[in-house]
Amino acid sequence: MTPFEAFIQFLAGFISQFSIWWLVKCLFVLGLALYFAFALIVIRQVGLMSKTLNSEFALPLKLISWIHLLAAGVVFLLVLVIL
Amino acid sequence: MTERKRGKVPDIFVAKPEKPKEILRKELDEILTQGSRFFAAFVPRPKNLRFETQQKKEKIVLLLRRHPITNLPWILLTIFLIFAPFWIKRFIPLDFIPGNYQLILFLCWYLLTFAFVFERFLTWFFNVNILTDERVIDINFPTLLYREITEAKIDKIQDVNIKTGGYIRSLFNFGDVLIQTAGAIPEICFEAVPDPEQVSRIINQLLYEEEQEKLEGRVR
Repeated sequence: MTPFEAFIQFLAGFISQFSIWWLVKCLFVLGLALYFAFALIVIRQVGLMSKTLNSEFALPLKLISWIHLLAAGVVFLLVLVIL
Repeated sequence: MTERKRGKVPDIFVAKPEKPKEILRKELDEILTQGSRFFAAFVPRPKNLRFETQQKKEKIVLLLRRHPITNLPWILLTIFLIFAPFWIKRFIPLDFIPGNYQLILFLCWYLLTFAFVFERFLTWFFNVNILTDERVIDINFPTLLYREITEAKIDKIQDVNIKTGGYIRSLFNFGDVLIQTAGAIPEICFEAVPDPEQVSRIINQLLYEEEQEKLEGRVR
């Protein structure tokens, strides 16, 4: 088998196994990776806001933003594990 | 005999005599000492609060946010977003989507809904207007990681205007307070704040007190 034939065989195998759900999974992974980055920005934003206006609510708000990041991480891992 | 014949012209409008400054101050003091919740839109003399550029002896007189009713549109949208998956599931058969994908879709939906609610709340909570005994400050966070702090010294204030109108604003008594200054920023706007008339009175009182301090040579 020539390298070209091997490549064609690999391509044919890939196309026969390809399903729309595989593409959906890729989109989920990409989307949630971006969302995780957004959750990190939210933490930074809450920090900046609390620095500008420091009140007794700063700590609970920071805690919520960290929980949000944790939730985004858990969903990202779930996508990798169960899809 | 009529008044005209007697040589007297009847008054069309008689202005009420202005309240003496002391009485005005007493009234404002009463407003400012009213019990305040920090988690509100009109917070006189807030406790346990400091802002970044606050000086050591500077005291916060009033903290303002947009009237809570301005949050109604996004709260209604949130309620819709919370129940939307159940309604969609009821009317559109989603059996063609595998169970694990449905679960992830469901989780992603609520993650996004939560992010939306949190962002809207943060925008409302941290976009504040502050009146101190020295300055007026407008803190704005228009987008993520971007902030805008506008401030003017009390003695630079030239004019205070109130802008209200419309059913909702009249009903809930909120509006814009426009402060014209002689500083680098010609106008500071307190948008949709509760009780704009009271806010204007407090600014005028602070202006009067600042003038008194200047006359008595107590300027900081």
